[in-house]
Amino acid sequence: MKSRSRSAPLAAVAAVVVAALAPARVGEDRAPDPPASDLDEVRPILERACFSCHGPERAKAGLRLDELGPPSGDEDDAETWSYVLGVVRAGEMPPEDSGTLSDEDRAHLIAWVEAELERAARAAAGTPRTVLRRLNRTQYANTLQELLGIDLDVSAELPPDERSKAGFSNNGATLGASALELETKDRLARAAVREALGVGPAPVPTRVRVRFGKDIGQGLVAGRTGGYQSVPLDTDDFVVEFLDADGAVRAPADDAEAESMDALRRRISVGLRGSSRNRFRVTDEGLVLYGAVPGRERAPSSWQGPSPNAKLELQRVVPERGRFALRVTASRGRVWRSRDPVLVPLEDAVPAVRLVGEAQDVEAPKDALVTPAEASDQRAGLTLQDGALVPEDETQDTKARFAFEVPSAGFWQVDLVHPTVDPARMPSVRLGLGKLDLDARPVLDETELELPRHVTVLGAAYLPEGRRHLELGGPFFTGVSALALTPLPPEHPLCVELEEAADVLEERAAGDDPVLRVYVGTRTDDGMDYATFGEPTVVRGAPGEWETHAFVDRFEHLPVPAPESGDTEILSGFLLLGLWNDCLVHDRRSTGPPLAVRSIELEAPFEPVWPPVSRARLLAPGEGLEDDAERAHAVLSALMSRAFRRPVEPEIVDAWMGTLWEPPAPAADFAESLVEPLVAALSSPRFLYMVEFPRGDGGGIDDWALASRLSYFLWNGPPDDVLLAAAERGVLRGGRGDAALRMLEDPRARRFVERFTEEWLRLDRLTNMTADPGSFPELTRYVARDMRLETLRFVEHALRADAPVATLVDADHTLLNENLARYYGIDGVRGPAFRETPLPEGSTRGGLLGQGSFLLGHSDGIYPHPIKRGVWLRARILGDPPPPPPPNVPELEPEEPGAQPRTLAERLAEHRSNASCRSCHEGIDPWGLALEGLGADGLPADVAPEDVTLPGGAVVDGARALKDHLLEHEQERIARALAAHLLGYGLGRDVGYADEATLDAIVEAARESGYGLRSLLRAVVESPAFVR
Amino acid sequence: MHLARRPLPRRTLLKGTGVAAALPWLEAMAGPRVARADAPRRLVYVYFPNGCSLPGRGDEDNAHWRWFPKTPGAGEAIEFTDVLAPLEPFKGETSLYGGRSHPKSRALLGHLAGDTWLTGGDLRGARYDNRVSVDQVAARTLGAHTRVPSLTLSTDGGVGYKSRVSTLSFDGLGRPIPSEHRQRAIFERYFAPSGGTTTDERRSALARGKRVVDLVLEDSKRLRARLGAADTDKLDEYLAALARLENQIERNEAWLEKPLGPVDAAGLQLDPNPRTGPAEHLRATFDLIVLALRTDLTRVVTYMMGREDGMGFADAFPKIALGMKKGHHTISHDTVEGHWAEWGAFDRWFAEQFAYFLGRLAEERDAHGRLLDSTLCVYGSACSTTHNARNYPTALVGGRSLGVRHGAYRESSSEAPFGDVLLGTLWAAGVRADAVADSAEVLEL
Repeated sequence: MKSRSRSAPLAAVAAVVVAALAPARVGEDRAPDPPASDLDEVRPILERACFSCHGPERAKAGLRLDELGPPSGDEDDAETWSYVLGVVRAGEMPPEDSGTLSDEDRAHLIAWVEAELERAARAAAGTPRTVLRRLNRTQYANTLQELLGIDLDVSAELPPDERSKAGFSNNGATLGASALELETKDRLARAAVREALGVGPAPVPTRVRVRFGKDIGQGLVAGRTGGYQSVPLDTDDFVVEFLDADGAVRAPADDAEAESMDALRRRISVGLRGSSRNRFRVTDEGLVLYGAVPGRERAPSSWQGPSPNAKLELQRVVPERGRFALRVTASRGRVWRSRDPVLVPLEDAVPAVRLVGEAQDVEAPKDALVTPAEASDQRAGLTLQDGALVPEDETQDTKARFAFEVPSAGFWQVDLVHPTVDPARMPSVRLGLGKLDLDARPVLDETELELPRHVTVLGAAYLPEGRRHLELGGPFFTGVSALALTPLPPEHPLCVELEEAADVLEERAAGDDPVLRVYVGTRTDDGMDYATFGEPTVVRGAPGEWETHAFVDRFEHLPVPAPESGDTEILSGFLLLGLWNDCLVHDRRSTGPPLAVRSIELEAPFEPVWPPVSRARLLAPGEGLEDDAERAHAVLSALMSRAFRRPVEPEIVDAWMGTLWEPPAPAADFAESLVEPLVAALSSPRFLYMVEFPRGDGGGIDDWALASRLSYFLWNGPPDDVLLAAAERGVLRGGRGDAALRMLEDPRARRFVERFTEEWLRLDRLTNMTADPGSFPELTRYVARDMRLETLRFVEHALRADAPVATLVDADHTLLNENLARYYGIDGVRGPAFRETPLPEGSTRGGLLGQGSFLLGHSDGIYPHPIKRGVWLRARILGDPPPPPPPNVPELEPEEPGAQPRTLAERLAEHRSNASCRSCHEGIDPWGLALEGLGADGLPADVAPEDVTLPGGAVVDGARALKDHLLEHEQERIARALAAHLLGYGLGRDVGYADEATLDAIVEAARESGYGLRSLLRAVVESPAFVR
Repeated sequence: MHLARRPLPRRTLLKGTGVAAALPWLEAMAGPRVARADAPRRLVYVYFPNGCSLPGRGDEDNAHWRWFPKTPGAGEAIEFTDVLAPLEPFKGETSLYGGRSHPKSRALLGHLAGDTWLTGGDLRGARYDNRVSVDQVAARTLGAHTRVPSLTLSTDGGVGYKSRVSTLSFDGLGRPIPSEHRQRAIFERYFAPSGGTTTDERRSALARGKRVVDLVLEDSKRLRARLGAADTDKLDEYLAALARLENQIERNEAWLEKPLGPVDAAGLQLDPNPRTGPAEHLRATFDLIVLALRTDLTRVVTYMMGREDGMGFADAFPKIALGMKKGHHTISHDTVEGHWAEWGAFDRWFAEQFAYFLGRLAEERDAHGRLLDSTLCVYGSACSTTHNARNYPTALVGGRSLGVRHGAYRESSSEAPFGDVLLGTLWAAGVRADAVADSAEVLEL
């Protein structure tokens, strides 16, 4: 078992050199070039430390340092030097057992090589220029949509784009081309063109509606889907209807049709898996859902959706592609008061009964009702063994019934005492109460495995007074030694909610409106793979004021079941169409504003107009022309100009016509003859790349190219008519600053803000971060989602307001919705929409440094990560990225979040004691250490502020002082860093030393506005570099 | 010192050579590349569900029903138990691997880990985040030589559903690739002399694609003349990709014209019934795989013999084939007296079917010799004992001409990634990928 890892050392060297040669420090004040120095300066050090292995005697790894030229010499030597730099910096060379390198010599050698490499890089940097840029995948998808007038977003079908050094996905130099990508685009373009032209027969829609109401489905056919942890809705309580085009219920024409309708109905069920039974109910008004409680981020509850959530479960009855409409008729609902029996799961509950002594006797609270196994009054598939009922055949269904004399109505915790079973055999328990059931699995640690018996909390049951029966069993049953019921204490949220009068609960929820949130997904074994779509919709008005809310999207954008050939498993092939009440509830005692749902309807495929509007638009340029060839020529000419984003030469259209256009056969659809020529246009580099031609006078790019630069910068999509018209008149260059401001007002500008902010601030780190659910139970996926939106909306708001760059560091406001405001502990924000929210006096939350997206994204899921934070601050905010870590530095952090918590001091002491770490980390760690007072969860941590010495000598004691320091001393640097990021993103290229004069001018131009964000952006666009 | 294994960055290359993009060996920089060898290299991945019989080490009475040999070792020291005894004739060209698993799957229920056997994807969170499977990585390279890039086969067909799939193959975006399972349909689609009914359609689609590419290629040259030097380099990258696409289309066209070579349907079982003859059913599919390899229809095959968790046809195989009272999934849960013997016997039955396949590969020859020498077969499952997604039972058989050295039982620590074995199979087949699944290093097999 030998590793082949050494087979490509040259590749590794080359990889290192790219990083080292590319200009690293954007925006730093230009230091005077170091005095020229030759090799003699370091030769004695090399002689002592290196030559014995890499010199005249031996040339290990084929490397002789004695013959190497200076780093500023030829490119090969520079590559070798940067490799040497890496291994020396990492402490890998010289090896411990040979050669000697004092700390002082090491520092000297590193500084010298760095300075020399930098000199080489400066010398190599000529006039920077944007290189031919391929549209990245979102630009491609947006362009296809706008060009053809369709809503299909194909971006997810394409491979992810390469990132530039600054983290941007639109860099011409890094974006590559591959045959696979071209083949995929050919396929996507062909489908998109056919759809836009409406080629083919008109689609036939199916409309299915499910109506809810107590007992309205009695005696009618509908599906019911069971399975592990399923919470199916009783078929008595809903009706499945098929509608005609006008929305009227379709009556079957004959018995055969009635039968086929019923066959379909059996494949449509309603499920509420993941929902606690006390949070939803079917009443006469419909299906009523209390505000959803976000699930703990622990499998399986984490992928069953919040509680409650309801979904139509459609098994192999709908198409997998195309547009659909989901219509939900809803109003505010009423809090119900009911004393019906109910079963609910209990999260994190501790058993009320204990096993004591060697004999493991059951010790129960005084008021508990404990029934031993042998007292069960009905049994099936079980046999009595050592006082416990165990399955005769583990794989078969089992049942044991227990009777209880309930002294008073209320919630009772249900504990099961059972023989210990190896968890690898996946033992489980199904608890039954009348028609209700609840599945549970025992969780045992290794020490518990050695004991003969175990107690598992099954959940809680609301039981009316009198004689009641509970059932236990199911397949793979754990067995039962005893069943214990213990009344929940009156202060338990379930009891509080139960005892509270309806009007008190109504009153508590009065200030909020229910919010409708819809999703599409597919069923998995113990959860669902799902994604929400559309915007959360506030349901206003009083109970009974019904309104129908329509949500339109496409199945291609959502996690629908994969196509299946021949799969007939009873639990496969489910398309889930679901919803929950997104006025999220964090306090389990409160109901939230109830949401009543009267019906859910699906129409698919949804084509309100046929042929589609896009067809008429695309064919318009040929209108009035009789001859098919002339007509085709006119249509193609217009479309190709639009696709290529500049006027197309007639001879190119001729070439297209000559090669690919064939006159349509009689009675055939004329539009179909255009498909192939259009697909070819969409395969051309004139479409796939941002082709930039010079102006006639040679002074930079022409106006057509500028129109695309602007639109892909500020809209991440193609230019509109206004931009193209300005280009045609030749006035775009002079008016480009104003054009940019107009574009920022357009809704498409949000694409720029979101893409740029995401990549500039590395919000992907938040998305990929898994916060430890044990440490932060409240930090649910909905909070993390809103943290990301907070940052995006904050930057958007600052840009629109031309807020000074200082706002990024500190602000008296942020942008919040109700969910995130509650999490942050800020009152007075209601509803799902984000809005500017003033921050309380003394809040640490102002500015990007106080936002959860940064704090959580740069943590290890439990603790803040000062190194990640420090690197981020330097690279993203100060524009001064530290050099990348040398290869193979050992991880400072434990691999698994929380595996071995170490103190900050322990974690970072290593950096101070180790010479090879210190040189870089003393410039990184302090920035992050100053933010230790802000936890990984985005909330202030209980940490006493410590003094931290920043590079440069300033001493700060925490986030407030750090911000003050930045505001006082670094504003210009921060503005310059933002300008550099904007310039790099806007031009799709790396920004380097040669851009320093450009950046000077941009920053100067925006100085008056306090380096306002919009002013900086305008200055970037107006800079001569933008048209070079 | 450890040097990272990574392909030469394209930027470096372009900077250095200017016109590199136009050179055919640029393809090599994309990552995987084919070793220069004339003999075909083939990979077959065969899966059995629900883990394997694995009585505790102290359980002497049932030790002969352990899937793994008693002790790790090399050469003659490897001692099959009754379970893998059917592989005895191939002992000299078999290696066993133990202890390994996909790191991201370890905490999963074993049945769910079946989705990740060849991918190492991450299914722990709320999203189903699966990845490309090893066979599809291989197919990108090895597929260039053959009529179809790969075959994805199973007993049940389709993809099943997320968390209980009925396919082993996942595309570049981590989406399941539907498996084929009806022997007659497979035969007609790939081997029937007429080539099936879709050939004309396929031919006109290819012709259409080629016309588009030709036109664009020609127009791009016109465009190239107007660009500056830096842009020209970039456009050449695109042109090189387009040229590769054109090659691909031409190759596909050429396959349409080229007869498949002699295919004799005699002896093939095309309509076996999995409900009455499980062994015949599996063997019929194995026969088709042998046929596909011999005719060089493809060099990459996955075959899922059964689905996890008692789903699909294979769950009833113990009842039908061995007269047992329980299904496979139930057996894997069982604790009654004699349950190891049941499970072990059924595992042995699976091994017999696999041994049949190996025997066929050993008999059949192509121009370069025994098929078994040019075919590396991976046989295994994604859990060990019931639901435990660790210690994947894994046997590698064949592939001598790929340079695979055999005859050892290599037991790793429980931290060792299974991806290393998968990556090792790729390298053995000449596909020098950087990584696959969560591989840490290339195992020299």
